[in-house]
Amino acid sequence: MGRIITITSGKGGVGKTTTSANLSASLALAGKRTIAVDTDIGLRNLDVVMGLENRVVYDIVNVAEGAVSLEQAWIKHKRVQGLYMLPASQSRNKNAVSVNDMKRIGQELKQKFDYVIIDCPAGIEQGFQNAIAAADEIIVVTTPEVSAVRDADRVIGLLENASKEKLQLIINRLKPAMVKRGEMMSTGDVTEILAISLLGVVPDDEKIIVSTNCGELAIFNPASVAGKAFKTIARRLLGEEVVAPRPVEASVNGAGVMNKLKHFFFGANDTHPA
Amino acid sequence: MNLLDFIFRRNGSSSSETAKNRLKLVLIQDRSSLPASLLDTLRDELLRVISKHVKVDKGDIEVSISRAQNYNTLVVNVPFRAPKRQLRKLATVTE
Ligand SMILES: Nc1ncnc2c1ncn2[C@@H]1O[C@H](COP(=O)(O)OP(=O)(O)OP(=O)(O)O)[C@@H](O)[C@H]1O
Ligand SMILES: [Mg+2]
Repeated sequence: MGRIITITSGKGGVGKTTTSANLSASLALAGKRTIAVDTDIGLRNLDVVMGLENRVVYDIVNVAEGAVSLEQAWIKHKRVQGLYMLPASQSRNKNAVSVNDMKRIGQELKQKFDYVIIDCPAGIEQGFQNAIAAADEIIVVTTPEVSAVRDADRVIGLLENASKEKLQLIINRLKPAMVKRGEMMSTGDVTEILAISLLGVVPDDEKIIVSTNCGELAIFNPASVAGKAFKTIARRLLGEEVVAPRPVEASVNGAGVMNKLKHFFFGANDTHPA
Repeated sequence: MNLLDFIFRRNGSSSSETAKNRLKLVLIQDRSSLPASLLDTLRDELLRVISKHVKVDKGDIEVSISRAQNYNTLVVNVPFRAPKRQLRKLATVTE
């Protein structure tokens, strides 16, 4: 029996799809049969982030309606052995799939995969209810910003009410240099407020855009600090104890002369991502 | 915090601290927010229980929530006339 992990956030655009794609691929690379499921019906995106957009034929709505089998709808990744993706429908609306459909699909996928990673749409409506329905575990993604953390808190409240007990947090797009200058909330600030266990921290990384431009995943770009963080997080999911790597050099670049000076005088900072 | 951070941080507070404090305040409200219908339901049920013992009018019951830093208080204000039994007694006396 596999593990179903839903990636959710409340607020939109904080990195759920990026996280789902990179964690799924990392798990597959670790030898785990993994499927990434896009439940953002009407706003399909996981396909382009994973570079699979040209191969979509059927989608999750076709499966929910019983028109096609899961095997017909999922797409096998060519580069990563053991990695699959089940696309969302682009033309239908969120009510085309019900909580019961999702439970049934989840149960079936669990029999066939070690990991089922569900990419949840933004918001707390039907799409969210669907995405969490079958989840054994939840990863809440936030950025260190007031509105994102507030929405994450709301979602955590809803998940607790829905008796989802295994909740973990990923803080995405952290800028260590800003944290150091006191201009961005730190990992400690966010975890203190949300009070769920921290799975990992992903630094803000321009190279993510380069990756998505090409439908490549950040984990395959050796220069991507975010890619590195996603790989670390996947290892934690697999049960390894991974300590945070050395502070990310990129975080000091472009942080202005004063910070470079500080860096020179006082050495690397202690705001470790990942 | 190191020396230069200290020097360059004007008047000791930073925008990240402001963010954290604002979040804490807004979350106190968010976390205690109750469905709007709850106060109505409470008023109806309280009325039912209390009127077994004393005479109250629905319109007189005030139910509200008072928020403080760390806890909330349910404030129920029920003006009533007199216990039912006394009312009955009084009635017989005046007859
Ligand atoms: N660590 C990061 N560094 C830089 N950019 C990032 C990072 N993570 C995500 N992004 C960018 O942020 C944008 C939103 O990311 P993504 O689509 O993963 O968010 P989402 O939560 O799935 O959004 P939605 O709520 O719309 O589904 C994308 O342009 C993505 O490239
Ligand atoms: Mg998304």
